[in-house]
Amino acid sequence: MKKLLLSLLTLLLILSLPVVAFAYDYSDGARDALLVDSADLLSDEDEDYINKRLEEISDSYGCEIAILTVKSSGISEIQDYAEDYYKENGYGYGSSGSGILMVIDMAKKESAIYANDAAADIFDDDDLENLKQSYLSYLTDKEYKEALTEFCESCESILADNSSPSDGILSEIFSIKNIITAVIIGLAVGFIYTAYLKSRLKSVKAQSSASDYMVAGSLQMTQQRDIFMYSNVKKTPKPKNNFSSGKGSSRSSGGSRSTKGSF
Amino acid sequence: MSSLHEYICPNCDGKIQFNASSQKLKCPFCDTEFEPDAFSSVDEAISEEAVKSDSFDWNRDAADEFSQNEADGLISYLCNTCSGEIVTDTTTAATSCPYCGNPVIMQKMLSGLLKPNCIIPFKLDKKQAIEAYNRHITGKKLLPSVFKDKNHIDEIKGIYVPFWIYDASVSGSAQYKATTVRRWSDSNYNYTKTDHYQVFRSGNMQFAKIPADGSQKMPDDLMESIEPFNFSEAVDFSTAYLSGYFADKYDISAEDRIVRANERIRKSTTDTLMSTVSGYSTVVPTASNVSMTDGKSLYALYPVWLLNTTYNNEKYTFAMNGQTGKFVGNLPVDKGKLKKYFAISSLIGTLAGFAATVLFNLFT
Repeated sequence: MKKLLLSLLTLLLILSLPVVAFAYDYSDGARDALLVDSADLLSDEDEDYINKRLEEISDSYGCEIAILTVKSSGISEIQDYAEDYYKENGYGYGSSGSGILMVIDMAKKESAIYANDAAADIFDDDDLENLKQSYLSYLTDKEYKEALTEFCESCESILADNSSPSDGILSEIFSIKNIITAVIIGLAVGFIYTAYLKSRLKSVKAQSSASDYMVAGSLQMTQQRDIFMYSNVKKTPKPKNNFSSGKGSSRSSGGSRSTKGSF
Repeated sequence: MSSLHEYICPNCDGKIQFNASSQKLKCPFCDTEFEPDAFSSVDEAISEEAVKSDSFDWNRDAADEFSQNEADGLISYLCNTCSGEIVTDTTTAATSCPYCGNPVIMQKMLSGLLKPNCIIPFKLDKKQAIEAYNRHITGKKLLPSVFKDKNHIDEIKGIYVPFWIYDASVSGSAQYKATTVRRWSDSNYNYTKTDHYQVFRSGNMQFAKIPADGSQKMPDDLMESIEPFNFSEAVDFSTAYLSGYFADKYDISAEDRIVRANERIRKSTTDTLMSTVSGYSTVVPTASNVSMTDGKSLYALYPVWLLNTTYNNEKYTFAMNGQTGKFVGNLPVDKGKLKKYFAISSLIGTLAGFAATVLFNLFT
């Protein structure tokens, strides 16, 4: 019993090592770049620079910051487009997809910012408005690199005000939920182990029967009757399954926020 | 279900009527149908039952007293602290009471002492008893250290405990309600069919040499915990067997101890009858009766190694079966050690639980 308990505990501890050993990386590796410059506003060099900045900020704060530029998309409503594009392409960190997407439509000269889940809590309406104003004038002046750089810096500044860089990684591991669960498990292990140790101290128990003193082979059955009396049949309807089993992306509902502007 | 013409429904307690169209007995309240001969079979089974009420009939044989010659070879010691009284032969000296450890004083008078019919001599000596005690306390992490003190362990004493030994022929009858359950389903419904049965069992069995200790000083659960004793190794009593050991005098009569023997006989009988009911999903006993005949009792001395330890003003008694070596005794908990082990195991559990939780969140 003791060996089994120790082996189980050792196994659990060993399995947990890879979790904390490597630096926590928020990127899911599924997307190649956080900047999608379909409108070709930037040179390759500038594109790399902005991509790097976006990755740095996203990894540090656990909030995915992405930019999409389009030449002409036939977008009717840019805020809806931004939201749909965000969700269809699986942006965002964590199971609920925390992040921000900025869309620039060069045809209609419009820009929108969409914030999803935890990002919608960090970036309130005023923040989104300030963010938008920070780069719109650069877009009007056709200074595209400056516009996107300003967007990145403003995002980082707002994120920094709301949390420190390290919070993103450690807060995920040391969340209240994880700590409380661990303490409950620890107390349960403590109670079970000490109850086992205490049970080993008890060996006195009264005998309830005299089965040890029944003469072997002395049992003679004089009556064995099993009489069938009646039957009951219960019939319950089967539940009907109304749910479709098709695939679909599911993001847990969180808040979301968006804004748009023209340039 | 007692009258030939009026039956009560076992499903809802309504009065059953004969349904002419189905030719079956039917309950008008719950619509349950019964086979026509079901109730008459039950009536028949009840009348055939071997035992209809409990009865325990014991023969109480008068036991002999010691002859004067035999009594001269015995000494009695009295403990003034706990009123314990032990007997040994004249060659053995007693200095301390096996029950409380305090000094005993020798008494000269020994009369009216009932002579045992038989005795199971000690098969295991003091050295083996001490080894068994050491095995008993090994690995008990929460045990206070005083229990491991070698000087104290040496005080273990061999004592013959008075037992009343009972033989009986027993008849038992029992009734049960039993069900079998079958489940199946089609595209629209799930079905559950339950068949209800009335089950009757009666049988005879023999019990031999059920022991019940005759000393108030000996806790009953402690003596029952070191069972079983093998009566086939019992011999006719002789005072020679007492040499080097002590014998307790009985202070509970055979009549008073019969109650305990009856309880155990009853439980064994009903358990045995229940074990013959098989093949059902549920079995619920509804009635049982046990009758005993040819009850006999003997007065015997059984060997027990005894050690008393006092800890925190509480007495802890350990007993070893002097014939089979079975060792029992409840040990106390050292609170300091309990807290220490709780803290260590909780800490390890918390760390392991934390790692498991993080891992779980990572992969979901």
